Parts: sequence; C-alpha cells; structure tokens
Amino acid sequence: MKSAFLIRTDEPSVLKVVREPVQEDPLEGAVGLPERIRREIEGMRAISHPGIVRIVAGPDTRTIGDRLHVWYIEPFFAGGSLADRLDEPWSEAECVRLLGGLVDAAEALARHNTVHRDIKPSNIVFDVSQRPVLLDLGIAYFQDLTPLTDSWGVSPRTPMYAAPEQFEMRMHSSIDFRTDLFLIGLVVFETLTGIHPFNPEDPQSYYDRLTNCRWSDHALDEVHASGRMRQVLRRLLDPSMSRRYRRFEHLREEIETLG
Amino acid sequence: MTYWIQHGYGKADKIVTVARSGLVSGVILSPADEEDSTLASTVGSARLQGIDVLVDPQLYIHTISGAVARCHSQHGLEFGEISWFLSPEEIASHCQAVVTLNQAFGIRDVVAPAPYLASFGDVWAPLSLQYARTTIAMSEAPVYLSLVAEDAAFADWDSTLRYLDALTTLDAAGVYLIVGTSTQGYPVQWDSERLTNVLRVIYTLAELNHYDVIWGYSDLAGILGVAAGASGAATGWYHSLRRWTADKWIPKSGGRQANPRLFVERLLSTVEWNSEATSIARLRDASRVFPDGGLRRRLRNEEQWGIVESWNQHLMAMAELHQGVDRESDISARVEALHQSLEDALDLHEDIAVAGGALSVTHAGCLRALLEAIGAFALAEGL
Repeated sequence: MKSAFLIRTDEPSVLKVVREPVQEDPLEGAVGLPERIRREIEGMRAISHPGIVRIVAGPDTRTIGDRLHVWYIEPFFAGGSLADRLDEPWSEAECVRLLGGLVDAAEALARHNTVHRDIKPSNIVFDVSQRPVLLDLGIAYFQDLTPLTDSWGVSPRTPMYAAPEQFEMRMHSSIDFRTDLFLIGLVVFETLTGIHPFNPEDPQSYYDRLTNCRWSDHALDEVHASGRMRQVLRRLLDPSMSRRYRRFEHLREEIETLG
Repeated sequence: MTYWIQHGYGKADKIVTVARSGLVSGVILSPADEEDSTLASTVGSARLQGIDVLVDPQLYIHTISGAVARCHSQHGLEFGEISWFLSPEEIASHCQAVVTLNQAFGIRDVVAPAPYLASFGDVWAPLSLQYARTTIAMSEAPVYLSLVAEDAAFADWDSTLRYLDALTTLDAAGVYLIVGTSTQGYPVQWDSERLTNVLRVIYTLAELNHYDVIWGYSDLAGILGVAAGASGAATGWYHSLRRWTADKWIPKSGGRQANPRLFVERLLSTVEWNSEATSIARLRDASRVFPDGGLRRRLRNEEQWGIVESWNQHLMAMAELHQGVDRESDISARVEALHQSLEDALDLHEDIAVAGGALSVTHAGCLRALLEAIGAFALAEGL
C-alpha cells in the first residue's frame, strides 16, 4: 500500500510513500520492499511512453518517525481522472480518441512484456493534451518474471474491471496483453454509454454475463453507436482471448475506420 | 485460389493433369508414405506447374497406437516413439529434421510437426504447442502450425477455445488443420455440431487472428472451411486422402477395388457410376441433374467409367467448386451462396427419391449435416 501527497515544486507532482517500512542493508540498500511494489517501481522506470505514468524522482528512502520508507514522485495530471468525467456519456468521436490512446499505452506495456491488469476509470488520467495516461502498475503482470500468484491462485484484479481469465485459477488460464484489451473494452463501453456493460450491481449473475458475452445492445442503441464501434467493442469484450485481437496493428486498422 | 491437392504416394502425373487447369493453389505431400526419390521428383513436378508445395511432417502417426510411418526414416524424419514427456532436446531434434527436409527441397513454408489430439484437454495438447513454438524458433522460413485433432475434440467448445487462446499467442504464418473422423464409409458423415465448431475454429484463426488456414484431407467439407475463412482446403485421389482417420496408418490386409464414382455438381455428391448415376440418367428429368447431354448418353448406354477417370473427374469438380466459392466477395456472401447450393442439392435429392431414382439416402444425410453446420456457424458468428 502507498500514501499519495500532492506536492508543489516547479510543477505540481505526486509524492508516493510506501507504507510498508524497509530496512537499510549496507550492501544491498533498502531491503524488505514488497515484491509487487518493487516490480511496479521497476516497471515505471523501464517503460517510457506518454501513455504510461513515469517516475520523475526517486525511488529513495527516508526515515519517517522511527522507520525507513521508500518514496518516489510521479507527475500530477491536472486533467483529472476518467472516473471524474463519467457524469455523462461521451460522444463516439471522443471515445475513439480515448480508445486509441489506451491502445497505444497497452501496446507500450506489451512491448515490455507487461500487462497492466487494472485498467479502470480511476486509473486513467489525462495530460494537458487530453491524452489518457495509465496510472498504477500495482498489480501489473510482468511476463518475464516469476508470477507472484501460485498456480492455484487467481489473478489480482478489481472485480468490476476484470477480464474473465482474471477470475480463473492461474493454472487454467494465461494473462497477456489481450487481458488489457478486454479492460479497455469495458472502459470504452462505459464511457460511451454511461453504464457498465455487465451490470455489476447484480453480482449473482455477473460472472455468467461476463463469460457469456451477455451485454446490453440497448445501451449502445440509446447512444446511436455506429456498427463499426459495436463490432470493435464486441471483439474487445469477447470472453475468449483468442477472439479478441492478436496484434495491435489489426485493432489499430479498425480504429482508423472509426475515425 | 484455395484448392490444394492432398498427395499420398506415387507418380506426380495426376497432380500435373489437374494443375494444368490453373485452378490448383498447391500440393501437400506425405513423407511417411512416399519414397525418398519420388518425393523429390514430385516436388520438382509441382514446381514446374508453378504450384506451391507443403510437406505435412506426419509426426502424428507416431502418436497413434499400432500405426506405421513406412518411409519417414528415408527422409531423415527419425521420430521414433513419441511420448508426452519428451525432453526439449528431443522436440528440438524432431523440429530440426522437419526444417532440414523443407530446406533441402527449397520449400517456402514449413509445416510444424504435431501429435494427434483426441481432445484438447489431453496430455498431447501442450506438446503440440511446444512443437509449434520450437519450429517457429528454429525456422527462418514462415511456419504453419499443425493442429491435428479428432472431430470429437471439437464437441467441447470451451476446451477448444482454451486451446485456441494458447495457440493464438504463437507468431506463425498459418495453421495446417486436420480433423479426424471415426465414422466409416464414404462420403464422410459429419456430426453437424462438431463441424460447426470446426468452422468456428477456422473463422477464429483466419478471420479474427489473420492466420492462413489450410484444411487438409477435407474434400467437400473443405469448401465450407473456405467459406468460413480458410485460405485453402485439400482433397486427393483416394478416399483415404479425402478424409483423415487415425487407423489409416495401421497396417491391415485385404480391401477391395473402389467402385468408380462420379461427382455430380448439382447433387454435391460423389455417386457410384454403375448403379446410382446410371439410374438417375434414365429418369425423365435427368437433365436437371446432368445438364451435359454427352454424359447422360454415356450413362444411359452404361459405358465404362474407369477408376482413374473417376479420380481425375473428382479432383477437377472440386477445383471448380472452389473456384465458385472464391468468386464470392466475403465470408457472408460465401456462406450464403454455399447454403443455397446445399439447399438446392437437397431438394434435387428429394425429387430423385420421389421419381424412383436409385440414389442412396446416405448422400442426403451427409449434405444435411453440412447444411446444418454452415447455418449454425453463420448464426453463431452473427453473419
């Protein structure tokens, strides 16, 4: 877990302090940092893309009280988060721009063999040019590293914003960039229609709707979604990974036709 | 062009005859059945005709109990006994042998070896992906993955999709698909639900994931595969090359000479020349079935129809059917046209039965399964 503080230097930034204390080791530096947070920080340092949050200072340690804590600084995004902007459905043209930006970010992650796994409105902020930026690699899956979830465990997730494979035991499923594509589909659907496609308010049959592609066309009718937009959303939200998009270029070609 | 010839063994003259029509995309060769020198000359003949060549490595034979791959060792394909717990080195040596054979013939695309899967949940399934992955890593040439499975495997759509989830992580040029059937007799009586799922697999791989899909040993059902998005489908001279069964490579004695048959386009059926075709030719409305007056006269006069003539006619008729499907602009149009052709053919089967023609009801049963499958496929995919 981390605490976040808005700080004002030359430009506003966000100071993040890891709550779990670490110990200072003369040879290895700070030890005891939870592995998931260590990976998150490494991921942010390694991936340089305008659609992915970066570290502007740190990580470093500082004694707070009588304990040593890791801190780092991220940029502050004045455009706010997508969660703050969901009062009303967006136009299709705005959603296409959002979709394009999120796909760019997911592709940048995929190039580093990383799956975000937690793309949701509160983790999407906007920079000054209104480009969406993904925050919080806290439960990202780094495919080159040993999984932190054992084979009987399920993937970490935010239940309302998770792909079907994130609900399954790891031994029966695999996670790759197509998981992020599903999450992007969820977010864009909600942004376009103002409602979540699988009605999480009814948790009893939520999983059934999620895994059987049962979502409301009615919501898309109400906002007069184009046929092509529906087609793209249907692919992104397919419960089977093999029926989403295998290559970003294929998805991008279709986004261009939404233009 | 989507038409491929499935070649077992023997001289290449039959390939040449059909390839001259200009309707053949390529030929798929069988190193388990073909002598070393003949394989080389067949590759040469195909090249001269300007058609593509693929070599099906047929490793699956080594995963079928009692099956024999007579000529594999002549081609350096020393697969030996395959077990599900092969070491990475053994898998690598098998893949290397396949790559080397393809290189020796200068073949453009390499078909990866794969075991035969009775279901997508069995122990061979991960091994088949491992063979694919290893071949991709080794080959400089584009690779076609092999997906060789019993039709029963496709009955479980969930496990099929799980397998596809893994397969579609592989960066291959295409997929060489073989679907085994256990029903006896000719033509193949497909289970329509399983065939529907086979078509959905083809659609998922070809249309949604942009793989080239070539469906081997598929004969008439292969046309449905092409309609569903496959870039090719293959059939051959003999019945054993028009369908894939696991017991094809299990040595057995006996067998009888096949009856000469005639593929009748309007019936979409390969009927027996001496009984069925001659009986239909005598019906009053025979021209609805055989518009060619010359052919009607031959049948009425009970003229001889040789087995070689029968084989060539089948291959040419299939080539023309492919050409018809190829002409349609997209998958929806192909499916619709094929659906209509199957309905028309079934109507004609019914009319012949009413008129007293001696036409086995097996043909109509087979067509009905194809019709149901293409209809269910279109519905499932929202076409």
